[in-house]
Amino acid sequence: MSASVSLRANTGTDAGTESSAITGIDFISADNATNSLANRQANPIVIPVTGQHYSYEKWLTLKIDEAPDNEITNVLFWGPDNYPAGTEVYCGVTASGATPTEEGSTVATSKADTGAIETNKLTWDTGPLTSQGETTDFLVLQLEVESHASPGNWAQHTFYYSYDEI
Amino acid sequence: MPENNPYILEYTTDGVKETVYLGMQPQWLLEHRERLDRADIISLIPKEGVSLPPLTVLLEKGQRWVYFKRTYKITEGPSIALFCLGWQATVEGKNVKSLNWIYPDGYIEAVEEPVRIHELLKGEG
Repeated sequence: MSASVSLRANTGTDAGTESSAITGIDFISADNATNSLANRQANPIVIPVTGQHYSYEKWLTLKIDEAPDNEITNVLFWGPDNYPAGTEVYCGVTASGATPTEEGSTVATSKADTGAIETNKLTWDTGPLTSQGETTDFLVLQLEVESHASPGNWAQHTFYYSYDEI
Repeated sequence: MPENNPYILEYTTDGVKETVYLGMQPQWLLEHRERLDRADIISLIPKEGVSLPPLTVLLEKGQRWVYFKRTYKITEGPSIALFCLGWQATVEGKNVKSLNWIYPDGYIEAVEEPVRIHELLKGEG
């Protein structure tokens, strides 16, 4: 069979509540797996007068819905190489779940606009992943908002992932 | 026949041709690895009715086979799968690779890392 993989958001204590398959995430001031305009409007991130404000971390995994013939390896993640002025996305990977925070992340500490881009993809999981139901390590993302950010909706940004299968 | 398994993997070891029906033989690597590691010819052959090119790689002494499928996914969008077939070898202590990437439309790139895929992912290809 050929592998089938889906993206999941993990919320709550120790990032222990796994969502159903998702296709997008919201960087917001709440810990949920919803992806909608209403969710973003209900949970905005306030632009700080000084310093930074952060979204809740997003704890993401890829889950094997259908097993590969043999194994999945070399799971990579990347996205845009620039974000709107006054905003920054941070990223990181960990094997251990922790409760998402809206303080500055201790896992998502690399700037995504240099550390997770087309020419420098972030290694999400080296694998091997072999079985249905197995998940990757956690990819943790967090949006930072600075005082000179513009108010209003952040434009949609596209992220990518890839994996090798044999 | 699943569309995402368009190829048969064929290889020849000690003059004997072996066939792997990709996507239809779970754990085939366990059975084939020892002979595959000694193969001198390895091919991807399109299954019947599939309009993709066949690709054959001749392996010289010291060259090790490389085969895998790489799936690219946009968070909100389709996935694109490339098939990679080639070889790698250790030359003067360095890992040297020669890889061929087959795109869903039959386009082949002979590069270490695929390039055109990024245009396709951005909808520009």
